[in-house]
Amino acid sequence: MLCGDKRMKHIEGILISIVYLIFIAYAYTSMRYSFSSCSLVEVNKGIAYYILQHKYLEIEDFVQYLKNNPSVVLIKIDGETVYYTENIQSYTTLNFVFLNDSKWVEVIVGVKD
Amino acid sequence: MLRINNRGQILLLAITIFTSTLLFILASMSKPTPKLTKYVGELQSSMILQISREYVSHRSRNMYIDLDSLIYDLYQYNESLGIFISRLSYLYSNYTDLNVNNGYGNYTLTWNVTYPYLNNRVRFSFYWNYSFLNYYYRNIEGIVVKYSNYSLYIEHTYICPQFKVIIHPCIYAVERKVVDIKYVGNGVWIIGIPTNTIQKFVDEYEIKFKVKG
Repeated sequence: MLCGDKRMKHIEGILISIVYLIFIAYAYTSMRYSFSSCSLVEVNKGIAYYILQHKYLEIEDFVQYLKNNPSVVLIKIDGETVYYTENIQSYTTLNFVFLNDSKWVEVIVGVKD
Repeated sequence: MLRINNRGQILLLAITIFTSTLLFILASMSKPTPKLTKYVGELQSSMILQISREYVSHRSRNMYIDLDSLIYDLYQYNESLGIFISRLSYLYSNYTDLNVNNGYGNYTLTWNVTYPYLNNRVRFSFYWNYSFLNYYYRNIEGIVVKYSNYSLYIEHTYICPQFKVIIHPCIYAVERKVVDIKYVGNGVWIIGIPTNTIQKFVDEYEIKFKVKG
């Protein structure tokens, strides 16, 4: 009887440890997605400098510029996909608008997570 | 009695583990969807700086552009595209002092970007100055014309909490056949213009400015 109780306590301890591990995993996952990844910040900076240096957003030139960064997996301009890589997994988008000769251009850039 | 309580606790723990595992499995099985980042930084400042430059470009050429309307558009894009532009207010100023020996001028648009817990300043400024160097003579279609040589400095300044960028743009004269231009470096140009004239110049971002000879 005493031996059975000890075994139950042992099982209970293991189960509590598992629950703790699950909570830690949840916390880690939520923290991971609440901070921006390095590549996201890099691409953000890259686009910002591109905007400052250019009077007009020329699609081919812009795509060529972003293609140099392997983190960029998708580029949509005015809702049209102009660039994408194969096997797109999970990605985060950076959205912005550019005033191109008095007309807004909507740009979505997908960055690999 | 103690044993029954223990069994209840173990059952509860087992259910918790089972549910969590099931949720993890379901989450990993779901199709990945794009997430919109809430990183607010350089990109937002650049958007504001870009419309500032466009505004200055229009104003310098006496062309009308409604800045309030552009701001309204940005707020609309917050809703439709998620560009994370916060509440904006602005102040435009320009000053020019053109003399024969020297002169300077600037167009500046300063923004106050209000976030829930902080205010950011974003500023675009176009600045130029010139100073007299010497006279020279140029033969134009058989007529000898007296020219004034000037050293001209041009810069764009982009300031926001994340960076300060200075760009020295390329310029050209509106009357290309009349004006002599040579680039020295670091935003400095040597320009030759007919004495007693005012010459107009435009930079690569279509911002217009004047030099008095």
